[in-house]
Amino acid sequence: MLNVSFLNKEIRESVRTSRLPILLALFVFFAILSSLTARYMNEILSLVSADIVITFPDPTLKDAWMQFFKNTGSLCLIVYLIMMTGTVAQEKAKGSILLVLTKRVSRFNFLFSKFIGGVLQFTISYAASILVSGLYTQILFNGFAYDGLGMSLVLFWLMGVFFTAIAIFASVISKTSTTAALLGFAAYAILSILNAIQGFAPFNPAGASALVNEILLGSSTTENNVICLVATALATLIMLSIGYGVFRKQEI
Amino acid sequence: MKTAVTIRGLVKTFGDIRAVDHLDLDVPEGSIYGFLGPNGSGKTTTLKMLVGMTQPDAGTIEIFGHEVTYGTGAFREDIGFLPDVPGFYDWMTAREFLQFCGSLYHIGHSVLRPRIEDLLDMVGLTKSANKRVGGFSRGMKQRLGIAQALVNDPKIILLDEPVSALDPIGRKEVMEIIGKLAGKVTVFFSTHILADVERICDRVIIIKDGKALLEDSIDNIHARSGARTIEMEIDNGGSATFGAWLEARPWVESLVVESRRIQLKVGDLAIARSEILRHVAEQELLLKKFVIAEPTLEDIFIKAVNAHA
Repeated sequence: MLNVSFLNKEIRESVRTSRLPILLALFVFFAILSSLTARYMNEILSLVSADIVITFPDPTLKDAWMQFFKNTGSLCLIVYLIMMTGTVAQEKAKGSILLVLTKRVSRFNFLFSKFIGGVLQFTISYAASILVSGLYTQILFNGFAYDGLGMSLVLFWLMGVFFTAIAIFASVISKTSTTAALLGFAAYAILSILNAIQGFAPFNPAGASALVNEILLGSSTTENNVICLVATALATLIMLSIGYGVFRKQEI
Repeated sequence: MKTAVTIRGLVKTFGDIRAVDHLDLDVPEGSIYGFLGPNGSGKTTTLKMLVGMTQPDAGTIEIFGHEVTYGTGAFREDIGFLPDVPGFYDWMTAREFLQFCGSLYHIGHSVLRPRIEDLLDMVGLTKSANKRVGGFSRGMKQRLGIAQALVNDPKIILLDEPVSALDPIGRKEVMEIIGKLAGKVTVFFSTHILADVERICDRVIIIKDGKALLEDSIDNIHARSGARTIEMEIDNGGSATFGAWLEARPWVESLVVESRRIQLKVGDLAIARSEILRHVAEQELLLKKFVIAEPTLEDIFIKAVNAHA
């Protein structure tokens, strides 16, 4: 099912080509920035608008996590998505795929290892950003946990896994990395817009970005969260299956 | 002799273009087999079908008795493949790349390590083994490509245009490596550089528009090629009457007489040689030069391809 040698290459490649360090730095940077901007937003706004008196409520640790999910779910996820969309397309364009697939690596091994490699990169970067965000939130707000934080983190992680499957699919059906990146971004944009439909977020595999806000505001229900988890997991499986179905028939 | 590769009735069509058209061939085990054809004749498509990367529309392929079926891999243990434009991971060193390729076959370290050193030595990359592939020249990449094709100790290696993009030195180096493989492994390689093929191949097939035009051993192709050229120079005149005598011979296919020089193509070399030399002796002609020129593979290739143009 999983080709360990190929997965090992994927991980080493992400380190040696600086992909993982860049991703890690980006996720951690925005994790730090999220807590800092949440904590000092009032001060920043006062400095920017010196003549106008604006009164905001005192920031809480929930504001820090809200910023964290906003930043991670937009900039960080988009950069990760664009990086991942090149994963198969680049191998096809360079011709390295021929050297791999003519050895003892099946197309399923190849694609599944790519997927797991991506999930690992996302998980490492995401886990590091959670730790840093938690640490900064603790320092700046004297606490880091709130009701539903665990569920929010899981929902968000699963959304990242889903976008890995989207990236793999886009990469399989595209001939170039640029086309794959555009397709991946288009999928992200469409799914994000769908979140604006009232009550659709639980059924949207990218619904986590809306649900984490509802959890923070205390308006989310466990049922919705579970539906979203199941929908995202199913959508991931479907995307992977379709991607594999296309890849299996693709002449290289 | 056993057959390494058997192809029967292979067909592949892209839209309106038939890239491979009912191709049949047999590659004897242990041979160096040249797969020749002009650009766009279907060589790469055939090779991709051979390694299971492209699905044939019809026909069968067997490699050492294993049927090659698109999408399956039972035959992969037996083959090594080098595509026409091999893509390497530029961030890896040559040694790392071979280790990676070996690990894809699940070869144990104790077997793989010495094998990699032998392969690096064979392709002349020992000194560059720890350098990144990204900095390699085309020739070095091609040599590394041959090494990766041999990493699983295959029974046959399939090389697609391994020397076409190389300069003369790189070409010579790669051809020497391929030549060294004679008798150790079956080599099936496509090319349109015929001088190299003539030097190292045991057997060739010439294809055009996906169809086989000629398939035989190099020796038989030369023997069967028909007309050979004889060049003569007469020292004491008489070339005009000699030319007239030659023109009347049934074995002469073409004749050019220029002053004292005579050039003729003959159908039956043995008879031609014997009759000419007898005539020269009888007429007391003084021969300054008598050269029999064998047709090169290039001549045969051009003749075969043009005949089907």
